[in-house]
Amino acid sequence: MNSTKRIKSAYIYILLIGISILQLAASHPKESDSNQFLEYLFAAYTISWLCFFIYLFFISKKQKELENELELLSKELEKQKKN
Amino acid sequence: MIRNFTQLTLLISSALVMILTIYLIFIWVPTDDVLGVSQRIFYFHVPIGILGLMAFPIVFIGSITYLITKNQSMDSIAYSAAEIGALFLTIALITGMLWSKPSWGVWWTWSPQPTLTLVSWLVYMAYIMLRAYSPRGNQGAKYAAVLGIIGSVNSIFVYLAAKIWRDVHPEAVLGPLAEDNSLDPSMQIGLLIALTAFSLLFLYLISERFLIRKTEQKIERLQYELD
Repeated sequence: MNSTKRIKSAYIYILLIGISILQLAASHPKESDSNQFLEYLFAAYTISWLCFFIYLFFISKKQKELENELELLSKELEKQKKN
Repeated sequence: MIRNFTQLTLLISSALVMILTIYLIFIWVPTDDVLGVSQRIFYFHVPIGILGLMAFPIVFIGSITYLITKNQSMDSIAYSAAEIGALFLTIALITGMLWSKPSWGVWWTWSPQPTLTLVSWLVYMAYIMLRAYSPRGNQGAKYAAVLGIIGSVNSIFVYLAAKIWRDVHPEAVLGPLAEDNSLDPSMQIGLLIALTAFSLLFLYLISERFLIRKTEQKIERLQYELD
């Protein structure tokens, strides 16, 4: 479980580095490139990653809450069975 | 254990292929002569859009199998695919608008393909809302399965739209309807690698959501036992 979490964090870091590369590439376009629509390109990639990160955060949080709830319910059920 | 190993493999491989994708998109592929740098949105917009629609066949198969066999796992697969499909289509619609503005001068055009994609997105939203607000148990799952099956038909029209109703939206660049040499070979390689990276991410997210759904069902069963 812990290794999954570590890899998830590593994934997020890798993607953040990817975004930084994008920013770098966007700020130093090739000579043939037109700078005109750079902001749209940057917005498209940033919004895409933000959506993925927000979703990953949301499901990680949900997973943690469900695990806690499951543990509580299991304990309650055990108590009920003993009684 | 195997599940965890599969998830780890998907996560690591998607991260590695994603790095390669970012390198290809920003350093390797040539810039489009007409659209300029904004054309690079294509390498995210197209694979994400394709995968958003590819979730529909999963919803379709999961829903039909659930209605026939009443197997909860099939319902969980359909549910997970619908949620991840909604996420992918949301991003595809946003990136589409951000590409539409520099290309056509407007944020949104009511051309058949984006319009039908919006319909698909609304179907996903209806599916998710139906699951969220319907009573626990089989009833909500049954209604959602029917909605999923009906909604899946629309995804076929999204793919066919650009071919049937020719307009400003570009035609399909992948699949049986794509014309030969519709893309520069290096752009095609960039697109295929981006599609691989997002496919791995898509599968990882579905597997993660599936496991969460299984835990939710386990909790429902325990609550039922306690009551």
